[in-house]
Amino acid sequence: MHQMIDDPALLMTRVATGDRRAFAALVNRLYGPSLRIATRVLNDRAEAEDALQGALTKMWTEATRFDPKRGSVEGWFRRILVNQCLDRRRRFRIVAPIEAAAAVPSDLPDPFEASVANARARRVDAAMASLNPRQRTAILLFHGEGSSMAEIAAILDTTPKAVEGLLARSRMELARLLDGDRP
Amino acid sequence: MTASAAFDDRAAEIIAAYGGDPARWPDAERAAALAAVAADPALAGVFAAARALDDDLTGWARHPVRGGDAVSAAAVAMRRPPTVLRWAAGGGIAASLAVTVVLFTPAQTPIPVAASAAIPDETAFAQVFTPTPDEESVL
Repeated sequence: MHQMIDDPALLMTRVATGDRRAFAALVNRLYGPSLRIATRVLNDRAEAEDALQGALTKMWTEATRFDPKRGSVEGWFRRILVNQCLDRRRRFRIVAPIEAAAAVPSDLPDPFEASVANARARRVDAAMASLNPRQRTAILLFHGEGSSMAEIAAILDTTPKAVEGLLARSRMELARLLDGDRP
Repeated sequence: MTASAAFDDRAAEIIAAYGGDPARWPDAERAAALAAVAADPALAGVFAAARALDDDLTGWARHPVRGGDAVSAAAVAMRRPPTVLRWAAGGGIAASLAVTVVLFTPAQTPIPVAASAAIPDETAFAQVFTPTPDEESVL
């Protein structure tokens, strides 16, 4: 009788033996959050899907490299994914112009709070697009995933102090871009 | 610079990097940074602005994206064999080739003893270790 397994670490040990059903179950679990991470880092949906596909292929082909003593499956896969994203970005060098933040209109109808919030979110999106992928990665991991400086440093292959500086510079730049937009 | 002013600078650095949620600040510096914020109106302003920016960044980072096709992505990923299996397959092919070479290579014809014995040991030694005239000039 086949028992449904939900524990990622257990699924991963099965994936390492070539268990295709375990891999499909693990992908089903990781896909949504990972697509969000890749989309935020790359700021491009199609590129994000390609990067995620590359990361999933790596998870399947390199499954025996996962060591549960060194962390969770999610953390291991997040590191693979971010590296795939940053590698792609290094190859293609696609950078959004910084003026994009100012070009997004913010004058949607005032009486509707939802519309205002939506306009604000669009301006934040545009401001984020002006950062480089490492800056977006640091912000995403810190504010979205709740990662510590040390965890972000491990993913970006740098020091916690350098991540502090990266975050501070990114936040300063975002504050400047969004400054005139506060209600 | 006084110790207090120096820590105000560090508190500003902490807020700049970690934002306006003291729970995310370094444990060892949290109490002193909060005290600095409480004592300095300018720093309190920086702290309030950081909290507002945090809301924007958290909203951006956690906003869901429309779902993709996880089933297809898994299927595409599994088109490549795992590295271990590729190595195993490679090893199998190599082993098969080795067996084939051993089984189907004709046995070497032994060198006739007479041929190998034609040059006496002393002569062979002399040919190898006796320097030529050019080598002697170098020596």
